[in-house]
Amino acid sequence: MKTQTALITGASRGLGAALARELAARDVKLVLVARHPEPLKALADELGAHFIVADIADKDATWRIAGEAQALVGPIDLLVHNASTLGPVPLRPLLDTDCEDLEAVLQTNVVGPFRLSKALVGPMVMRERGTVVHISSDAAVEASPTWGPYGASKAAHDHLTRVMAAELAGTGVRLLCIDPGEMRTQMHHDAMPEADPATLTEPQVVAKRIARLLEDPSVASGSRVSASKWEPSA
Amino acid sequence: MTSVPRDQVRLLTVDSMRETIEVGPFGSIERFVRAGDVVVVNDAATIPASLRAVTAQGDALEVRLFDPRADEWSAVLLGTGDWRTRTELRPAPPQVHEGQALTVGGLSARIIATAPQSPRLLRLRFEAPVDAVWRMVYQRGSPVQYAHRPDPEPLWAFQNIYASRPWAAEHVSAGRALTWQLLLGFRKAGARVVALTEGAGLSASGESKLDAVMPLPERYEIPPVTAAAVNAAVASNHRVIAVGTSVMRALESSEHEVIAGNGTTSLLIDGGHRRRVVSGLLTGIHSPQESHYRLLEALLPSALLSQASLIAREAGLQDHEAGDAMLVLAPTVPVVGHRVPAYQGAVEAPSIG
Repeated sequence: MKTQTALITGASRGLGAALARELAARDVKLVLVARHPEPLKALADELGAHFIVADIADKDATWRIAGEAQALVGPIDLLVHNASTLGPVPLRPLLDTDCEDLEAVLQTNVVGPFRLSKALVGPMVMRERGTVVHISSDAAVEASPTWGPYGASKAAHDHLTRVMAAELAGTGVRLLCIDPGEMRTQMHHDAMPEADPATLTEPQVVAKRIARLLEDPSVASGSRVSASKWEPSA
Repeated sequence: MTSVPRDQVRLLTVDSMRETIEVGPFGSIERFVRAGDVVVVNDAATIPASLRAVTAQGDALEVRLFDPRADEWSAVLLGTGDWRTRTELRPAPPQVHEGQALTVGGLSARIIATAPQSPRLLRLRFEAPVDAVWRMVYQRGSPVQYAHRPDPEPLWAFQNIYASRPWAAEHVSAGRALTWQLLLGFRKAGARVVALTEGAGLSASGESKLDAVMPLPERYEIPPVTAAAVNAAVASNHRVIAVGTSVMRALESSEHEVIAGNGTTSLLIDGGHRRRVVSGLLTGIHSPQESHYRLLEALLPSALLSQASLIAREAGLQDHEAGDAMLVLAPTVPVVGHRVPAYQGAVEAPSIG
């Protein structure tokens, strides 16, 4: 069934904003969530979308996000967990990482999205339809030095996604982890300022592939897909 | 924090065919949901509906919002104070009239209609975009609470695990004890678990003239997947279990088979109601003084119902909204070519525009 409504976190810039444009072009009713009001409002106005200013790590924001979003567009068909934080930059070795910084990364990248899933996936099960996407990273799989907190958080969120997919098998709800690959975004620049931008993919190109990937019913719930390697099934 | 896990309550099960009444842990509900049955929940989320308001003259009051339709809402006004005072003991709100302005949660609104029974029940139009009104409600509102729980509780304490659109003015508490362990277990046993959305209103207004006409007409929406599942269950003589009286009202409001889409129900169900759809009900413990008790008479013979009440009292079952639960199992509805029209309650619902 066609996606009619979507909620995207971290939607004010980078891949989140690019996905918002891609879905708006497909006439999906959108709710965009991010911390910074100005760029978020500007994008929402441009796309005719709704927006909610909130920090995904804020426990008290969970029901506000879920409630406002569903009041405005109805039950959510597509939930995109795109917001995430690297923690303090420049990135540093784990033994130099403050425990509080690790906790903060886990709050934003794992616990916050988990809370939002708890609020929004139940209605999907009841309607026997819906898709949840975790925008993951190769850092969830590779043991790359200095990427400890971010990589661990992405691996944890990947695994929560897979377990939830197993628990909800047969319900009609699909949960996916998508590795977008290296993109020319502010986040990438923050993590690797020395990277040559010419070697990085534009987020809009990745967003287009993700939007098409989501329309492919052969991508099974619980799978982890690399956006750059995915080929449309015939 | 809820001190007790939600499913750690007791379940009173009354089976009218076997004429049995038993008290067990809530999890014992698993034994009564069978392959082919359909469990229907009300997925309305609870609105943080209680807001501080002020009249143009500067008088403070509490507004309880419900039935949102774009920028228009219904509201019941209460005087100063909060939920810690029993609703009927609260001071009366300042007198208001149609056309008057009110500031609710910092946003301007105008009273566009008042109910003939009392100006405390009215329809409001906000002078702000819909998005801004919902933002205000979630930033400034708190869930409607009652005096028996004096501490303010977070919004999530009043949400069911499957809550979706915020349509309910108060917690639709019949589903409170349901867990995904149980709901996914029903599915594994071959039952269907589906939802409709019913905009359950306020249970008390603080004014007897208004309380007498409650519940007010309530809107509902039945998704196609739910209508299909319910109709298939009725046609194949399987049980349709409504979770909450709001679900029963919505399902029993259909003329013949359940039709997907939007509706408004003023149906009052009592012993005179001829059931068309629902053959099971999960609800709270209701005392004989409550309107919900009369609804149970549509499912159970009076003698069995009285006996169940007696056993509930002897077992010390709790009858508040965070209390124990009751599962009523009635005979499935006979599939016949034409059904007798349902009894419509005699009480006129107030018109508020």
